[in-house]
Amino acid sequence: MSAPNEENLSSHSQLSSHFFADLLDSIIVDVASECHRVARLGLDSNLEEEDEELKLSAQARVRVADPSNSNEANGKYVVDIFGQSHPSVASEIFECMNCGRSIMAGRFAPHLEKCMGKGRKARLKVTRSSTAAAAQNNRYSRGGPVSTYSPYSNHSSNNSMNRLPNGTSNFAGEEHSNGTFEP
Amino acid sequence: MSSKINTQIVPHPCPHLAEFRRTSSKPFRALHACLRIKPPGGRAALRRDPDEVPSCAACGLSAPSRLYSCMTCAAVSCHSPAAGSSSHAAAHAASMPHGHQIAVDVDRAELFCCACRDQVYDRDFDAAVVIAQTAASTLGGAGSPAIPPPQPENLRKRRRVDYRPWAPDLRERATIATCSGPIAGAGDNSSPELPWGLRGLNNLGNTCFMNSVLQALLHTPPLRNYFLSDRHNRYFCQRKSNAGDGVGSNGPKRRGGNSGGSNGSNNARVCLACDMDAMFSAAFSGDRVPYSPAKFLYSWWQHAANLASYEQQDAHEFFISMLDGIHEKVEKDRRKLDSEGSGDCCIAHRVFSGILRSDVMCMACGFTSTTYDPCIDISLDLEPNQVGSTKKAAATSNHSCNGESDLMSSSQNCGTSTLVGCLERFTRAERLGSDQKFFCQQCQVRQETLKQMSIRKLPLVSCFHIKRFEHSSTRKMSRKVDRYLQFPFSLDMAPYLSSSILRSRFGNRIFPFDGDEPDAPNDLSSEFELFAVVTHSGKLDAGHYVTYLRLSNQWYKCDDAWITRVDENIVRAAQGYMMFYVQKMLYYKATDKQVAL
Repeated sequence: MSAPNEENLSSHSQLSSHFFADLLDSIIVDVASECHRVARLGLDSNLEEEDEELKLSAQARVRVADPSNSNEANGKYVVDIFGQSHPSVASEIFECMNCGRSIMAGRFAPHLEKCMGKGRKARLKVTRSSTAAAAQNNRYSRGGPVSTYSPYSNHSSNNSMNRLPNGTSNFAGEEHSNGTFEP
Repeated sequence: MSSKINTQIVPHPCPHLAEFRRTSSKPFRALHACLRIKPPGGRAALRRDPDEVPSCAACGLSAPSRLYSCMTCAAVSCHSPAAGSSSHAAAHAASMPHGHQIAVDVDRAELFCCACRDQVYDRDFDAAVVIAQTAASTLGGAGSPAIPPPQPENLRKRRRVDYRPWAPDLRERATIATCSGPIAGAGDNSSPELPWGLRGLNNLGNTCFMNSVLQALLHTPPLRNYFLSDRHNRYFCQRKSNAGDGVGSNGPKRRGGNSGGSNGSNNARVCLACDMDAMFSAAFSGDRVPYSPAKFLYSWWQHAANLASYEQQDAHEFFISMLDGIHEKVEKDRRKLDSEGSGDCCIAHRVFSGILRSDVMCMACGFTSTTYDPCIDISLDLEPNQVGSTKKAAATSNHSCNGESDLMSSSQNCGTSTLVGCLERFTRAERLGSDQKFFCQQCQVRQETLKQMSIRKLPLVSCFHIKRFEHSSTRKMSRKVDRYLQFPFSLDMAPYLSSSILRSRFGNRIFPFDGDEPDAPNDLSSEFELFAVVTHSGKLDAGHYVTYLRLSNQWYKCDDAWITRVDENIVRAAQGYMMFYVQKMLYYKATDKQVAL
């Protein structure tokens, strides 16, 4: 507030200070009244438990981060709790329920993919005209025949993002077209 | 000291308030005319005329922050808590004959006892305020208070029934003796401390996303109980579908024509629930050699043709897809789309389905429109990048910065993301942008709105999914958010219920709000316990899922075929992706059917 002389200035600023103090008081009482009600009606009873959980988590993170603690070595197991040991690729052998062949467990998914005619690699094999048309559609939605897995683990309907007119790479350089991509 | 109704304490009145209620015939009758509700948000104030500016009768000031109007004679006085300055309200109470101690804050609609010099609470007063507030926010000003008309039909109240332990009768005992045998390996070679049902799952080739979710489901108490009680018998189910086969099974639209190779006729026999049944039998058989969920994978790929490929996938997506598969098989026979919320359709929904309530409030007039939607889990955003989550975290950080001797904890506590913080943000009132104006039925024009979510009905098992995978369409990239999220082992969901959210919207008044159960003897029904955590480590496209299970308060790590025991600190410090909580207390509801589902 502009004022020509000092007296007006000080009384103006006093007045605005006064207003401000009243507004501030009012807001403080608002909060105090609400908190009073919450406390009196018991609506805030969980604060202690929540604080306890936060504290436990913080302590846990410290303990786990400490290299001197004997934490479980991720990925390097000797025996499990039953005293068993397992190879890195599951070795159990069973029969594929689609074609009947004997398959090793750890290789079952890639086998089943081809066996059922699903998946990218299987779809690229053009065996019949109907599957050829389906394969073409799938190829477009996957955005390129090169990489073996999609950059984000999301279902293919999102892959419409991949459809770029000139097939330029768009995800951390993983997927690139070598010019064979047709829009 | 006070009575508890609907998880809310109703404090006993002070003697002055009690006497006021006794002596006045209709104590708050005059209020209705004076309650002015200011939209939006419905702040209640008391004014005799809409334009009245109240001022203290004693000193004439109208600026003081607390002005009280006597309930008996409506004289307005100011009040100051400081001992030195005068409180005209207290003076008024003292000077007048008996019965002038109770006053009401004209700006906040709160009762005040001038003799006790404290704010007091009364149920009928609060009810009057809420009724006025509700009238201001519903069409035409009528409408029953805070109970919106579109009450979902699948929420009709069912009587709660007391738990009665079951013991087999003579005939059942005979059946057990003749038709069953003890589980192989029970008690002899397997050590007694190792819990039942713990069994590794072989990775069939990038299937850790499936294994992690299956481990959590194998130990989801209501689901486990369902299958172990033989509620879905795979032999019976297969026989039934074989009998109905060949009638021309028109698969549901989603199958998209992929008939799965040479076994197209198998579509009718694909039943994920049967495969789950087989898996439960295998897991709880006592055999500890890792199990290969190959048949399950095969069935799931037939159901979710678009997801069927040998590549790393999203565990949450698998979770939704397979629950949908269990539902769809049942749903094919009868139309039960509406009953998803009540869980009458299938075991998947019975266990996981809750109901979310969404309120959209017009910022101009306060009119609120409400919708209910079933949900099978809750996906939560991590907070945006800036530090500083909830005020509670900050308060805790202060507390532990000063109190704890561990210096490292101070830096980690300040600004930690928490699951509770995510839930608070999920249920926060959010102002929708001016580009998302809704049509307000009362204003008859598009207005800016405030949207708020809340949980109308809690599921038996709550699955929280943390959105750690960010897809930015503008920058054409995706990334994974590795930020740590603190999650509690015990979680009280009461503050996120519709009743609580509504209550706080109406100023925390004492009033039964939408969702308050009058027959709830205690508030244990909103308390949940963590029993499974699915974690993801690594990058977005090359990562690994691991599940931690809590059995008999001991934590186990399920890493595909490897089951190991871990300390709970490992779990607390892990990067949670999906957290599974089960209700601490399960209630039985009366049913009309002969055989309850």
